[in-house]
Amino acid sequence: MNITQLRDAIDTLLSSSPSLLGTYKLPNNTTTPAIYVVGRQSVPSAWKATGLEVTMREFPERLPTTMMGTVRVLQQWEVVMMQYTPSSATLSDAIDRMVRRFPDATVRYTPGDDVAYERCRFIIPDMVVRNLYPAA
Amino acid sequence: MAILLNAQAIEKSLVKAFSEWASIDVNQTHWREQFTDMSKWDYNGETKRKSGGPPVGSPRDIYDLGRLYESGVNSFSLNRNGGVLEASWHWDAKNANGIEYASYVHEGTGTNKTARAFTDDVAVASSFFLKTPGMALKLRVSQALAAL
Repeated sequence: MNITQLRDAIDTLLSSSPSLLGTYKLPNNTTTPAIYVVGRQSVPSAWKATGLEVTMREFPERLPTTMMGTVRVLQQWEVVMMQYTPSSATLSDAIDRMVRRFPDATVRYTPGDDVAYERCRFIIPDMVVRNLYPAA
Repeated sequence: MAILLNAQAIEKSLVKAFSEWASIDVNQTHWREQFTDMSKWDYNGETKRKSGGPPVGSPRDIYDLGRLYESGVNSFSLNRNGGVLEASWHWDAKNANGIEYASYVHEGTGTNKTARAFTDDVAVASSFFLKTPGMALKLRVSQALAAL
């Protein structure tokens, strides 16, 4: 799995009817679904999020284990969902869809309070076996 | 030649291995490393430390006055319930409003913009045995069994 595949999988999962994804309102007043890949830059502060926002890290954490002529790499993708509309129940539905799509994910849910928004973090394991480089 | 081992001896040795792992490898070594390793945690922006000195940027450690760290380390307990031995920690340091703030640091909420998930190496099952605490537990268990 690469970041494009992960983003597409989550986008499809959450935007299929009824869509659970919130929206970003850009400075020029256009709106776009609130799904963002955090790389060198996090979500621009001028973008106003409403509803459910989904962010994911561009690069997974990689944990290698040596094998015979190959290396087994556990990649861990981090996905964070944040509910900016406190009255909405979409985060609960989104978690339900996510655990059914990624059953081996570690789920960390934090309820909202007067300081922080309701949010949930997923750590999705993704094992790959790679040949050694350069090839012998 | 076969040697029959007493099951109780195996259990006792595993309990000892787990207890030592939890109290030494995790409660002493791992938490200190998680809280004081500067290179580990990204952070957006600068903060003036309550412990004094110039403002700190990113990456930085999450020790500061050590209140959160101390609350976790001092709360460590080992509980035996039937056949289950459980190590537990409760990071119960409170902020000025009297609210426990460990989850704000851990998950990056409230005034914290970046998650600094200091328990993940112990708590995330899929990568546990590939991280330092899991490797230390494996070593403790294999040493305990070899010594039988």
